[in-house]
Amino acid sequence: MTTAMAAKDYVIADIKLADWGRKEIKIAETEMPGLMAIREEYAKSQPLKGARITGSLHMTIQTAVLIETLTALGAQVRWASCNIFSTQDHAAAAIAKEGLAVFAVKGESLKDYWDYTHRIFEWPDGGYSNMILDDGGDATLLLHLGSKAEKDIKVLDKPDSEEATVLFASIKEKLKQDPKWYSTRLAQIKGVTEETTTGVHRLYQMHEKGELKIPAINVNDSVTKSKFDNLYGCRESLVDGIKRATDVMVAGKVAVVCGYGDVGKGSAQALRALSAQVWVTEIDPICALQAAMEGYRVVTMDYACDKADIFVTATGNFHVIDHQHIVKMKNQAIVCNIGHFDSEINVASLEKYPWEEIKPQVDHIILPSGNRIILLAKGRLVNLGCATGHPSYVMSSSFANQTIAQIELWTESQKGSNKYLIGVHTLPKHLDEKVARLQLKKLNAQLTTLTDAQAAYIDVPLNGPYKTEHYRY
Amino acid sequence: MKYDVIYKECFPLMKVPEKIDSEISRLKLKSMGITIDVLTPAQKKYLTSWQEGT
Repeated sequence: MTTAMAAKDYVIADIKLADWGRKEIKIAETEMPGLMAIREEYAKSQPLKGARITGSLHMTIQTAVLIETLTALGAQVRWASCNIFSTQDHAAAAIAKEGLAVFAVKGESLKDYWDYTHRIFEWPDGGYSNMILDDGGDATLLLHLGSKAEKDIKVLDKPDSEEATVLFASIKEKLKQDPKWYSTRLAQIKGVTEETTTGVHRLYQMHEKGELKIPAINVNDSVTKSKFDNLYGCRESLVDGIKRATDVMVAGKVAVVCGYGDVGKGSAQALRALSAQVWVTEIDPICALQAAMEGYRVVTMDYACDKADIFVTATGNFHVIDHQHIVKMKNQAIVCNIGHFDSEINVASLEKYPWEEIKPQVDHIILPSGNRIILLAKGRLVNLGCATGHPSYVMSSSFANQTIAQIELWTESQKGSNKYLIGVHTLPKHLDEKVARLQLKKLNAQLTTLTDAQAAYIDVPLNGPYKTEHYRY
Repeated sequence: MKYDVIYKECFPLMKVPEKIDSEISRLKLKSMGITIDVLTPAQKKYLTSWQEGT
C-alpha cells in the first residue's frame, strides 16, 4: 500500500469543507454529554483495540462525533451513510481529513450507495471487518444476502423495486470477482449493533427464520434510544425538514401523521405545537386509542387523502400512502416520510407523471387531475434529506448506547465468552440508566436520591436498576 | 416472609395477553365511531420479510 493510494481511501464531495465540518463537530461535542463522557471514561483502557468496525449510518456531524469516539477507544473504522441523501458533506470531509475511510456524498446514486457499502468491508491491507455498526440493517443484509446468493444465485432473480435491482446487480458483479466475497467476510464478524426500529425488525425476522449468522445488540430498544431519539429527535427535526424544504405555514393546516409509534408521536406533537390540525392513521388499535386520547383525530388514509395539506409517514411499513391516495390529493399537498425506508410512500407509482424539481430533494409531481403535490426527499427520510437530522443532544444518548453496545460485543467476543450468542440482545437496564444520568448533567437537572428506607419500601437497589424489565416508561 | 413475597410465590404475575389488550382498544375505538386502517396482505408480507425495503 503506497501513501498515495492510502490517501485516496475515501469518497466525499469536497475535502475543502473539512474546516467547516471540524468547527461544527467541536460545537456538537459540547451538546453530546453522554457520548463524550463514555469517550473519556474508556479512552485509557482502549476497549475497542483490535476492533475493525464497518459503519453504515447517516454521515452527519453527530455521527462524526460517534466515529471519533470509536477511534478514541481504539477501533479502526470504515464508514458509509445508510441513506443517499443524509450525508452532511462537511462532516464527511472533516472525517476524511483525519485520515479515516469514509464513503458518503449527499445525493449519491443508488449504485454508488451499494458500491460504498461494499467498500466499507474492504480494508486496504486485505484484512476483514470484525464488527458492524448498522442503521437500518443494510450492511448486515448485504453480507447475509450475498452469502445466500453464493449458494443459490436465484435469490437475486426477482428484484421488486429499483433499489433491489441495483443491489442485486452489485452483488452479482462482486460475485464474479470473488464467488466467496460475502461468506468470507460474514465469517469474520463478531457482532452487529443496530440503531433503528426497521433494522431491528429485520434482525428479528432473520433470526426467526434461522438465517441470522451473528450476535446482534438491538440498540434501538434501549429506552434512552427509542424513547428519546425516535420521539424527541423527530419532534424537532421533522418540522425542520418541512420548513427548510417548503417554508409553508403549518398553523391552520390539516396534517396527517401515518403511524403513531414513537416517531409518529413526536411528529404529531411537533405539528400540533405549530397549531396544525393533526390527524393520525393507524392499524394498531392500541396506538390508535393513544392518539385519540391525546386529542388527535384518528382517520383512515382513504378518508384523509383528499382533505389534508401535509402528509407524514412514520410506520415502518410500505405503501401506506399508495397511488390511489396520491392521485386524489389536493393541489400543493406536501407529502413526506420520516420512517427509515422510502417505500412508505409509493413513489415508484408516480414515475409515470411529470416531475419538476423545485430544488434538490423538493419536487413537484403533476397528477392526472392537474393538481401538483410537493414530494420531499423523494420519499426518503425528510429530516435528513431536507434538514440535517436530529439535534446533537438527542443523538448523544443514541450513540452512547451504540458505543456501549460495540464495547460489549467486542470485549465479550475477545474473552471468548458466550454471553452474546447468535440472536438479538438488548443492553441491560443499568447501562440505560447510566446513559440517562450522563445526559442529565448537561441540563443541570437535580436528580433525587432514594433513602435506604425508600429503596427498601419499593424493593429496588439504591443505585438502580429502578424498573422491571417490562416497564414501559 | 414478607406478604408481597408470599403473594408473588402463590400467584405468579401474568400479563394480560396482547390480543385482549388490542381487542379492548378496538372496542373502545368502535364505541367512539373511529375507523382505523387495516394492513393489506402485501403489507403483512413486507413486515415478515428481511430482504425487502432496501
